[in-house]
Amino acid sequence: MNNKLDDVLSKLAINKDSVIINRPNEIKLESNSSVTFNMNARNLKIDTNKIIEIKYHQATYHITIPQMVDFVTMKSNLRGGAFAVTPDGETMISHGVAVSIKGEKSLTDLVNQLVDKTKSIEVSAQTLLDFVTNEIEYSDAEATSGGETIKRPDEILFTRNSDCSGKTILYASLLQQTKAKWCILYYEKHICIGVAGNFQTKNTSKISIDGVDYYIAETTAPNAKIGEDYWNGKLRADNLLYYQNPENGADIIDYQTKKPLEFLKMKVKD
Amino acid sequence: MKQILYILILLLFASCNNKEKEKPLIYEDYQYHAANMIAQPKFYGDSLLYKMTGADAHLEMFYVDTKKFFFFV
Repeated sequence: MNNKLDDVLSKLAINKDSVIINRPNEIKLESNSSVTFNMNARNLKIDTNKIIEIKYHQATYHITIPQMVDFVTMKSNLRGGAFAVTPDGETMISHGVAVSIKGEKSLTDLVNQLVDKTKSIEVSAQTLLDFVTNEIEYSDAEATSGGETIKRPDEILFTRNSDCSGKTILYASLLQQTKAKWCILYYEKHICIGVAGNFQTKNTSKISIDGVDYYIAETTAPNAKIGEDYWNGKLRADNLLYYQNPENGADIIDYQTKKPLEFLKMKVKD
Repeated sequence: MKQILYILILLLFASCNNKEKEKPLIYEDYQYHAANMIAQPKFYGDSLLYKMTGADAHLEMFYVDTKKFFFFV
């Protein structure tokens, strides 16, 4: 146990001497007994240059601590208002704020591993959808938790699972690293992505926004093909509530009225 | 006289912009962010500590107010 503890402390603590180790009774301590210890976060030994790897079947996600912190501090996200007010007076969470900016290094690297740059935008968009539908597990727990869980793209890649919200955020973040034109489509209790392009599909499921056809990309159906209908027509334009197009900033637009929703203005109290 | 006024306005804008610049993060900031991430297995998985440090320990608790970790091995 002492060897293991020594090994752990040498990896975990900058100053091993300032770690408080709780050894209730060292004489009676069995080899498999656990030892507790505590230390301040300032003593946490981290390497800001270390590349953390998350292995997937098709690619490996690489990220450093500073890149993770850039997601936390919203430097790598599209930003904008977080809570919008619907015409019914209800509050909805903007998913666009969690989507990555173009050129975010960890996601650019992942996209470069997944897509063949010599292929068309449509092929790349489908390849990235395949990754999200097949390598990121659908989380029932997240979907039925009662509240809306919004994960950032790196968090989804770390946990390897999410619901339609997270999968949509990740897919949008991957598309951001390509030249694909996309938008977020908000339905009653569902969200997905629309991708512009020439998609040859069995059932052409698409939404027209500002003269552009966005083919529905369903992130929760394994092996989903862009433009195919997996919801028995429920994702048609009549049922679309709102959309968000990153080219128009953070605004969430009411599909029927074409008016942007107001965002809640939060004031931080002193 | 006009030139001086323009220079003063320019300097005023420059100083305002400088205030808006974000302070670069230091090692301590990264430590604190890393601690918060390690303490959120729902968002980063339960092996982030190992992935970040290589240490095979288990986090019992992280107190945000005192910034103190409690681990067990």
